[in-house]
Amino acid sequence: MEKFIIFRLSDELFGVGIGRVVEILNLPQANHLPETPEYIVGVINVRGELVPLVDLRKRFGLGSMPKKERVVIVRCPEKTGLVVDEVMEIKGFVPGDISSPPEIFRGIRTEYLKGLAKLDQDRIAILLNMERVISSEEQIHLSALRK
Amino acid sequence: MERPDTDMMDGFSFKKKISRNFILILLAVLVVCQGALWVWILHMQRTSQARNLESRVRGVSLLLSGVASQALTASDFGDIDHAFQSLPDSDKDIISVRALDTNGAAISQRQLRDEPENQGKGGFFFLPATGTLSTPVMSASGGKEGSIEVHYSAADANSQIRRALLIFPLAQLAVLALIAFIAFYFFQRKIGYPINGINQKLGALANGDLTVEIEAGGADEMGSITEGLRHLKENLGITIAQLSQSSSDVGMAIRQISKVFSSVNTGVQEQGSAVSDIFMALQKAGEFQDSVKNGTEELLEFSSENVTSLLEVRATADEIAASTGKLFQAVDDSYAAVEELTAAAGKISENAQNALSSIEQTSATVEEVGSSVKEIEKGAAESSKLADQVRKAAAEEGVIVVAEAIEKMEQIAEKIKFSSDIVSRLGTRSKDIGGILSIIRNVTEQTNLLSLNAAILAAQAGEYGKGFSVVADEIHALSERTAASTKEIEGIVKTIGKEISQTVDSIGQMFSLLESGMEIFYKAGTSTAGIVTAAQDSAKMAHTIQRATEEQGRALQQITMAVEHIRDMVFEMARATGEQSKGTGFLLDKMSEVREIAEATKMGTYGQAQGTKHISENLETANERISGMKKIIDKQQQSSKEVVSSVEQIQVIGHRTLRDTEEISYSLTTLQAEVEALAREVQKFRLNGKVHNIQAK
Repeated sequence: MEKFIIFRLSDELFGVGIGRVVEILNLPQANHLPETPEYIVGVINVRGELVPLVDLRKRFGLGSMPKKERVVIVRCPEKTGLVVDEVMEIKGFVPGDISSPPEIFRGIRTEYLKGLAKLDQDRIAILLNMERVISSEEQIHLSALRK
Repeated sequence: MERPDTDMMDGFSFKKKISRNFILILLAVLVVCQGALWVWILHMQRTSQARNLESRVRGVSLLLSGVASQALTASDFGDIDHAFQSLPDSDKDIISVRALDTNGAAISQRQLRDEPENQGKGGFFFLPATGTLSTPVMSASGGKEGSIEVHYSAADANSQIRRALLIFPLAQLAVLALIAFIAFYFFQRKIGYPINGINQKLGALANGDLTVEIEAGGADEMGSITEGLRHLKENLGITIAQLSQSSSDVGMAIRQISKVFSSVNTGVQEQGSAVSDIFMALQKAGEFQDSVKNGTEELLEFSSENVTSLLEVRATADEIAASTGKLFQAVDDSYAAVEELTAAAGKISENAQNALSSIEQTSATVEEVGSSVKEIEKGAAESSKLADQVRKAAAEEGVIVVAEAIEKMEQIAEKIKFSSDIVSRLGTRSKDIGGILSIIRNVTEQTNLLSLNAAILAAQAGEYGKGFSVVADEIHALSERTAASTKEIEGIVKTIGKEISQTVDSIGQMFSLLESGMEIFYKAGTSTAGIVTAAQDSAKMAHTIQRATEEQGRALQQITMAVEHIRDMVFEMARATGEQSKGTGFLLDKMSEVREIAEATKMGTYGQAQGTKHISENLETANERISGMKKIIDKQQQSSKEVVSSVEQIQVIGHRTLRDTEEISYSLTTLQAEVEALAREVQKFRLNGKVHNIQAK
């Protein structure tokens, strides 16, 4: 059984494997940086470590429905903060719960996706493939911000 | 075209004439021009004479030099002498000839005639009297052998020039005279005569002779001037004729006015003297009147005295007659009185009966009135009582009730305010609760976050973290529950807050309602006070009415009593008059006897009185007439005084009129003199038609 952190972006639920997650924080005041892509919110200081923030809503072209905005710090492989609308729960899935995604799913390219998991009777969580979500080019960009 | 008379030339002597000036200027110009021409011609003549003389002398000289050339070359001087001798004597110009050798020594010479006495040096017009011409003598080889000198005289040439000098001015003078004559003639003909003619006519016109005939001139300027003059003359003639006519008319009118005025003047003077006479006469009449008046007054005095004495006599007679009359009258009166008394007694008796019956009626009416007044009194008393009750009720109960109500309302308002304060405090408290709840919520969220992070850590720890994972899940569940409870509490607190605000609103509405209610109560209080005042007033009025009706009732009772009293008296009177009536009948019979005796006495005295009265009356009439006469005289005197004053005024007016007429007369005389002067002026103009002779007298 693999555990996932389930969070919400707009009115969609997403999951990230807990192995990649470092911690969850309240959204602090971010220092916005000039000449960066729109979805890079800025840089935050987490206990003396500079961590760039990526707004996944903007990355996926979704609207914002903030309720309890949180930052999920993931390792991919450097620490990167994902701004989400709300962290829902920690959920474990057996491999049978996860199905492979269709070609196009609600406007999100399938290359970002690891699969779709049934949360309960009527809810589906999109499990993200973090390596794909943040491309190598973007990683260079983000690592430049950490310095 | 007439030649001007010498008389007419008086004002225009030849010196001042335009023609003279014109001719003089013309002549001056001609003299200057001709003089210049003359000088030039003479000068030219001098030049030509000089040239002529020189050529002749040169011819002689050349001839001689030709002879001398051979002679000098051959040193045969005889030829020279021969040549000199052969020179004709006829040539008057040459005085002497000389032959000179190269050294200037004279070889041969001949003196043809004497040197002229006059050695003039010549001038602008004349040549020098003598001259010398030296001609060189040349040999055949071309060398100079000597010279020939010819000494000549210019007398002949000068005499010719002199002749010319004499002839030219004379000719010029003749020409000038001719030109002057021609110019004068033409000037006179074209300008001088017409101007003279116009002058002459203007002179005549200026002297007032308008009879002069002015012929139409030619087509030149003179002609137009003449035409203008003719028009002027005609118009002047018309104007003068009109002026003459009107001045003659005015003169006549003024003469007539003068005549009339002199008669007016005379009339006014006569009137003045007549008024003066009237005035004198009036004054005299006044004096006469005064004496008449005095006489009349004296007469009146005498007559009055007579009348007085006669009146005294008459009065005595009258008194006797009157006494007798009085006696008779008294008897008569007594009789009449008795008679009247009888009739009156009858009437009184009758009236008493009537009065009795009407009093009975009155009594009944008064009783009726009394009963109705009693009813009114009762009503008034009741209404007074009611009014009192109303007053009491309004004053005491109404006011008290309203005041109590206001007091209660105020208490309610206070209470409401108190509860409102409590409620607002409650609102504050609920807000505080909200604040505490938000802290709890934050703590819960933080706990939730911690539980999540713990779960993450537990998951990453793998098998070792399983126990910790359970704890983390528990904490997560707890935080979830806490969050739910907090949410519920929040909902409750929110509802409470909403209800509190609604309560505050309703309290506010209540408060405003209460305020309007209190206002209404205050108004009620005010109007109750008004009602109380009105009730008090009406009670007072009811009391007054009651008192008035009571008094009326009392008065009615008195009236009733009085009416009864009167009824008794009238009854008594009716009875008494009936008895009296019988008594007076007896008295009447006795009185008629006395009356007959008195009648006889009266007749006697009446006759005596009548005679005296007659005399007295006549005298009074006379007296009246005299006094009437006096009055008339007085009036007459008054009116004659008025007449005198009027006459005086007339006199004053007459004097003024006289003065005015004199002034007018003087003005008229002046006017007349002026008109005469005008007429004289006009008369100076002799006109073509009849000549007006205006001579005001």
